[in-house]
Amino acid sequence: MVRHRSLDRLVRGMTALLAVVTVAALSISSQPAEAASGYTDHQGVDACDYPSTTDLNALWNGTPFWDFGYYLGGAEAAAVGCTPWTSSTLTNARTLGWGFTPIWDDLQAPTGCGPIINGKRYDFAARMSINPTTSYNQGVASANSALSAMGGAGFGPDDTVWLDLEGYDRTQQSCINAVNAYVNGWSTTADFDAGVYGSASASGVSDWAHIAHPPFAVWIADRNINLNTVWNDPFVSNSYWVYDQRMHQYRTSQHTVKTSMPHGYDVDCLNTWADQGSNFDDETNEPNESGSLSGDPACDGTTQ
Amino acid sequence: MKGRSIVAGIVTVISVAACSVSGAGGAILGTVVSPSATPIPTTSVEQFATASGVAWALTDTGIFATSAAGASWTRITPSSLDLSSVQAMAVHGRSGWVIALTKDSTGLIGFTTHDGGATWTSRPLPGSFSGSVASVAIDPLDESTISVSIKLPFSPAESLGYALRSIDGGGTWTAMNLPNGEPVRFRTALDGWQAGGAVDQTLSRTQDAGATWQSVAVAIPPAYAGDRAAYSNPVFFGTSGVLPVFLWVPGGGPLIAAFYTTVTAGDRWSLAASVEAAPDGSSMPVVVTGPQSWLVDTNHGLLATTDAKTFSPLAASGLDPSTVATLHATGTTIWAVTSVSSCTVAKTACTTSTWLERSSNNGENWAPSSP
Repeated sequence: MVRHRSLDRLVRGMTALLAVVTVAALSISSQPAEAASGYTDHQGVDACDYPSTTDLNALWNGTPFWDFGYYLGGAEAAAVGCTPWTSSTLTNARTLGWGFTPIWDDLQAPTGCGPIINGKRYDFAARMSINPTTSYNQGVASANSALSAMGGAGFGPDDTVWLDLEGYDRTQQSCINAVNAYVNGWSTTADFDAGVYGSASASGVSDWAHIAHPPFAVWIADRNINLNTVWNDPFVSNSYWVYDQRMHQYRTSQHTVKTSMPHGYDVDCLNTWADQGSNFDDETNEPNESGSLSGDPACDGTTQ
Repeated sequence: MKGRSIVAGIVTVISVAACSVSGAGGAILGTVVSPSATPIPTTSVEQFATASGVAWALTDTGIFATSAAGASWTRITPSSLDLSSVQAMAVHGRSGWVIALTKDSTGLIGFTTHDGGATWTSRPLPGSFSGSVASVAIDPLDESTISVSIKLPFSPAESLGYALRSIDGGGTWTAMNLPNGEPVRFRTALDGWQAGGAVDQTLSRTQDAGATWQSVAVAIPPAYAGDRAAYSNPVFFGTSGVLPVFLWVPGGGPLIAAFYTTVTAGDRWSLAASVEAAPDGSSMPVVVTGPQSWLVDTNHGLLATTDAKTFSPLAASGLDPSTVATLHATGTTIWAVTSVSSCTVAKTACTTSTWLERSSNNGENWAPSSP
């Protein structure tokens, strides 16, 4: 297992309370309004496309999704065009009720370690070093940049920022070593704020449970498997990240609700701590056990 | 100074059949698998395809087919198909294809019919996927030559994938490299196009059946030079073609739909006309019905042109433009897939209703397609 829930939650709860009090006491006009951090057991969406105000309304009012994963920044995000939201967009979304799982899409697998597609290697735009010492330091730098951006976007000290680590060529041990060192640098620096997104198999999520400083939480991308739960992924043991430390991306490129986003939105189950929108209320945050996409099913499942 | 709003491109909601005016002939569906004239449920049209005078709809109860008249629908679902696993479907005359995930989500199965859905064959497609697939799209050039674009499951910041091609109607497949994971559209067996990408969009062309691809540059109007461009796959009518390009600024400004045309099979493109959407970040479905005939849903009304220059409002009687998700055309028939979603306050129950509307007079009048 990774981490201890009772201590983590106590620390996080106290930190979150402080954050709320701080925000209530201060008026920071240059930043979007900050909401409380809290435990979420809801479904959410994520997208690289920039949603319009109409899109945010349509998704909030027409779906069982409570949290939005948007691209906060990072070198790969900048290279491919994932534009960070403006403060007004964040404020609008938060006012509607959206919580957030901000994504930091920075360095990816080293040159020569990208995925092989139809026999042809694809190297990402922004790449870490193949040298594990260097990639560790790059992970530290990524975390520092992400935490700075989190503060600039109005997120609190208890909010998780999610490193986007795409699938890579795991047939080469040197690639695995470099990526794991990078994640270690990230997690060591971001500490309780360190989340990491990755493909359950192609990113080697399970590896991260064994590095010196495992990420606090993982966002497991595994499509069409075990919908509506964060558990029972065939590539990530249930004994890892057991205490409200998981998200599961289980659908991609959805267009069920009409939006202007050309690639639609991905669908996630959350069982973790996240920045919550203005409508967040512990009294209404109890999971609905319907288990159906027609409502808001719990993502914690029944295994823990 | 032009206004601005947030609207990402509409590439995926532009659904036009490249062969919609080429020898359609109103194909007649053959022997049916199940009792005929089964009404399509009006709340669950999950996929739609139309070409050569035939339309197919995937609902949560089956795959249904109709002629362009849309008077009745016939269930044509392959008997061994798990509807929830369907990734894509396409139709061309009496042939049709359905691509579905295997039960363990690590591979794809292709279902093929050449008799309007009366009988089907199925076989695994080459390739396996450790994390399933992100999306699949089918481009039937004719009843023999089919390309299947496969977008692999990376985060939404990436668009990676490849294609499979069959030249025997879906019997055998060979792999083809793609610039990214977005859908392809072939004008001829050799000349193909791919628009899109993760976010920063590209337009690419192959003239050797996918062996090599070249980036295609389109001159963006100076007033929008700094905008983000989202290309859609061009629609060809012989050597004449139409290329819708959407221009916008993330975080503000209205969406601009710019229409480029070619008479040289895509060797040269020139801007013919443009439409600015209402500044509320609405999507803007487009359908190309002819070399000079295009229809745009601005979310607040339908606009149409028949001379590739001037857009005029359509009455669009019977259609709520704000509900239109995608537009499709075959021959003189235009279809709209419409969608409305809502939830209870606490999100304990959410519903999405999707249904089909059909117009047989170029979008002036619309009626639900189901009986």
